[in-house]
Amino acid sequence: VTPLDEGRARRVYRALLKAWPEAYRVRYGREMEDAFLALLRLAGERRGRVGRVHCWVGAALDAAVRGTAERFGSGHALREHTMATGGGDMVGAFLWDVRYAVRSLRRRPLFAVTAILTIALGIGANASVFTVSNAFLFAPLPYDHPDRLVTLWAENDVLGYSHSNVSPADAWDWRSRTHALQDLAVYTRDGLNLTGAGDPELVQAVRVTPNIFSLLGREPSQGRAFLDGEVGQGRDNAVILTDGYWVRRFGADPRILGSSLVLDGRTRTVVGVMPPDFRFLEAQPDLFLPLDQAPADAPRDGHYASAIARLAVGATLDGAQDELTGVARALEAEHPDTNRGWTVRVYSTHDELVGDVARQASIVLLGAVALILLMACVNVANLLLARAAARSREMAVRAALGAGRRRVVHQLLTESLVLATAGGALGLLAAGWGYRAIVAALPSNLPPVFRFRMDGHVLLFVVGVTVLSALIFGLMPAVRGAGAEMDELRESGRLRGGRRTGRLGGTLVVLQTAMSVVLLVGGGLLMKSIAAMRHQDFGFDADHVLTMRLAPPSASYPESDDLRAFWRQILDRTRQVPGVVAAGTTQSHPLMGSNWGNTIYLQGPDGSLQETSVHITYGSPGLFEALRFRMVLGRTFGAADMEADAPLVAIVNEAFVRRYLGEGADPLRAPIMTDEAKGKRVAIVGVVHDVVERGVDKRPEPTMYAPDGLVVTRTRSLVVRTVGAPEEATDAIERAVWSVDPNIPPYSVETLAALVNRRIGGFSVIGYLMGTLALMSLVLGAVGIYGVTAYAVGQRSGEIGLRIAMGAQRGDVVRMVVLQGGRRAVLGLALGIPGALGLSGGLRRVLVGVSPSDPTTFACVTLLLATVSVLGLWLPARRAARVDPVRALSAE
Amino acid sequence: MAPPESLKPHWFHILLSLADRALHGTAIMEDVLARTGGSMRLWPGVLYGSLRDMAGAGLIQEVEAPEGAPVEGGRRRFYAITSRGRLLLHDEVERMATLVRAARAKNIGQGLEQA
Repeated sequence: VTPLDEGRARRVYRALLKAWPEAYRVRYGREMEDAFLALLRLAGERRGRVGRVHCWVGAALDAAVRGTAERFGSGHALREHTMATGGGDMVGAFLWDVRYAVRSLRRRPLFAVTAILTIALGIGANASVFTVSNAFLFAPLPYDHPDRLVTLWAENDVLGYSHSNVSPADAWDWRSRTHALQDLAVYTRDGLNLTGAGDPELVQAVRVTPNIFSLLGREPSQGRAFLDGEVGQGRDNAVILTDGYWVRRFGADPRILGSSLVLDGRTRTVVGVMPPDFRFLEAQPDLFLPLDQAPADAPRDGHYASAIARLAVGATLDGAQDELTGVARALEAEHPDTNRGWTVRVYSTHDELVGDVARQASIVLLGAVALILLMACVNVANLLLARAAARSREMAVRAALGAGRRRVVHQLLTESLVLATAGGALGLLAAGWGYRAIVAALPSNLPPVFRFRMDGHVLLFVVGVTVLSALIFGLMPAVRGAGAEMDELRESGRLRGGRRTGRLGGTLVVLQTAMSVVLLVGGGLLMKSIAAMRHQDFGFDADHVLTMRLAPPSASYPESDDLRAFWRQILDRTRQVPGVVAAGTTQSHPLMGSNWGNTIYLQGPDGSLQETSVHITYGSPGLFEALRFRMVLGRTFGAADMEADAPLVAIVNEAFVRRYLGEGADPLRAPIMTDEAKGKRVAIVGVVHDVVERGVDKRPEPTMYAPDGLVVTRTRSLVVRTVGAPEEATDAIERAVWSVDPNIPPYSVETLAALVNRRIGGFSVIGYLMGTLALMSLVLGAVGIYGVTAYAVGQRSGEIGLRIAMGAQRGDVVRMVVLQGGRRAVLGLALGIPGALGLSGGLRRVLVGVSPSDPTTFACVTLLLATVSVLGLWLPARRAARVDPVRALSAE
Repeated sequence: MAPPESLKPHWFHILLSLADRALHGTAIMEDVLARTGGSMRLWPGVLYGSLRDMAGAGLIQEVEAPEGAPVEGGRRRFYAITSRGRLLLHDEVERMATLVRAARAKNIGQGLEQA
């Protein structure tokens, strides 16, 4: 240390001295400086830079603890404390403890490895699940002040709509008439055909109001955002690309700004590119366009847009809701024709994007991994308890040396901390792999705004969990090791706490069994639910079915007749493809995720018309055959139903009949009046068995099927049933489509079986994770029971030897041990079942086709755990019964 | 006599350093460091807090700097052990010796000497 360094060190230390009160500083300050510099010099000589760093850390702690204590007059109490814990040098004592712990663990490698692996299992599971849950629950959305973003949905109690798209005209009035909203933007999703250079491609576009980027707080990284004047038919010529699309389609061409794209036959200009990390709400588009109709000019009864808003600073969600409800009521009064019953609901955008299933699953899984960690801690605590007995001699030495109780607790806790840190580090490594495995299994249609990565939060969580688990599994044996036995140790140098240790171990086994019940029931219910989802009656046959979407652009097919002709041709050509059994079209095939509804009028018994809303699917002839819908009554659609002037017909499902027509009625004679044809009678010509359309976890709702001719939809699915594997027919079917129009790219080409799997996918992730955790808990529980029993019978070998010497049969000994342990298992089961009921209640939202209190699952879990418990008891019991009485007694 | 509370380890070491001569704070710190092989560091706050409290308890007292003591950069307070301090130190050593004897009787001595 040069004099210069010393001068600097003195100055820094003088700053530290400010922690002490003035009077103290005047009296001792100068000498404390000298003492510290001497300490620093010695530490430097001895251990170089490490020593000096250590010295500074110690001095800082010294100043923080002692200085503040002197200042606030609690000096005395605090001094007593630090002294009692081991002689003033807390840092030194701690480091010494760490060194000692590492050394003593190295001497017992089997113990250390078992304990570290067990903890790594617990912490790894926690870190993996937390990394994923963190992205859903805690990480902010990638926008400016995301907590102030809200999503608005229209709602109509009269017509039975909730979570409905909004009318842009209404939304624009919400925007101008409220103070709680700083801004509001409207957007719609659209598919456009990109033609010109390269292959034709269907691009996913989002049409927006120009303020959307400033509302989100994310502007294009190249070029500019949209201008107000660019909204509206004919003016919507500007295009902003997402970074991903710019890279994928244009190879990140730096001269992209100002270049032209032909979209749906119209030439548009690229004015901007979004930054690479920009993600748009629930799904990432390829590009953005301005809305083709200004919100204020849109028809008020067209509910087709999404709305997102930013709360004003200081505004609350409830405040905004109140204000918006008032505005919606005023609009209802101003526009009674279009706005009757319509109101608006405000939701947190974050909550909307996460959704109920992901949130509940995250919470349940976090709870489940917490239980796993607890079980792992219990096992390690058991190991430590057993080891404490073996270490009685070492404890005796330390007690003899005058180590106080606190000191021994510190040392034992440090050992636990060392174990936990090693386990935590290993667990963190494993989690880097574990969370990726979870993310890979997540459904691919997840909103892109969630970023799964091990960030600072995850690291902090792991550190917290590590310290917590060290406390949990360390404190019990530590307090025990240093507590009541200390006197005994001082006296005799031997620990005789075997029986009490056994009792504590027994309590731990009860807890573990209970936790195991909870996890096994959760895992069992979820697995059963997935099986139920997979094997439910879908109402259609997904095998051998190929689906693809086609969007004939309005530029080439402006009129209904053009569309009708286009789709008829597509079907004709497709049916000619070898291997095609049946083909049909529909605006939305089952499980696709669309949610079309229609208002219909039903004639009541008194002849009055009742307005209600049902789901509606438009289908062509051949659709029911391709999907193998099962007709209960009547007929399917024929070619004649498709004509423009054909009589209006509909097919309804059984849920429709149950809800609206009643059991006794003849559905084929019930009249429906539809909205589009008010006053015209629509005849029900058939009843179809319920089809699962809206989600694998959703019961079929009243649905009406109408021929595609009733309303001519533009974008439709082509649904084809083939003889062999549908993938093999894909190319031929695409060629058939192109033979009708070479500029139309089929998209979302997928087998229906793959779609079903994908839909179940999200649920199966939860199920398989829970299943894995349940399995872990079973293993941890079994190991725990075995360990505690083996330790207890080891402690009692003298007694058991005596019993055998007195004439007890070996079978009696086994029975005794198993029965005594069995009591704990029964108690654990009794405690676990209410816990499991609590958990399964939380699972309600993700359970399908299985009751949260499913008796079969509970019975199976009970049986399984009972078997495992008996096995865990029987193995050590059998060994105990082999005790040689002579040796066992002489050892005593 | 009531069984003596075991002396706080750093008080014990400070008394031990002062047992045969008067020293100033930094010298005490260095002495303790050398005796414990570097494992007991008396941080300045701990050291001077203890010296003040021990003087208050009558175990040590401030004394004139002995003749010929090196005076590096200013006056330093020197401390010497009092008879009360010496008595307490004696008791503590006795207590430890008893413990060591008890441990030796149970064949725990060897491990101790190695450590």
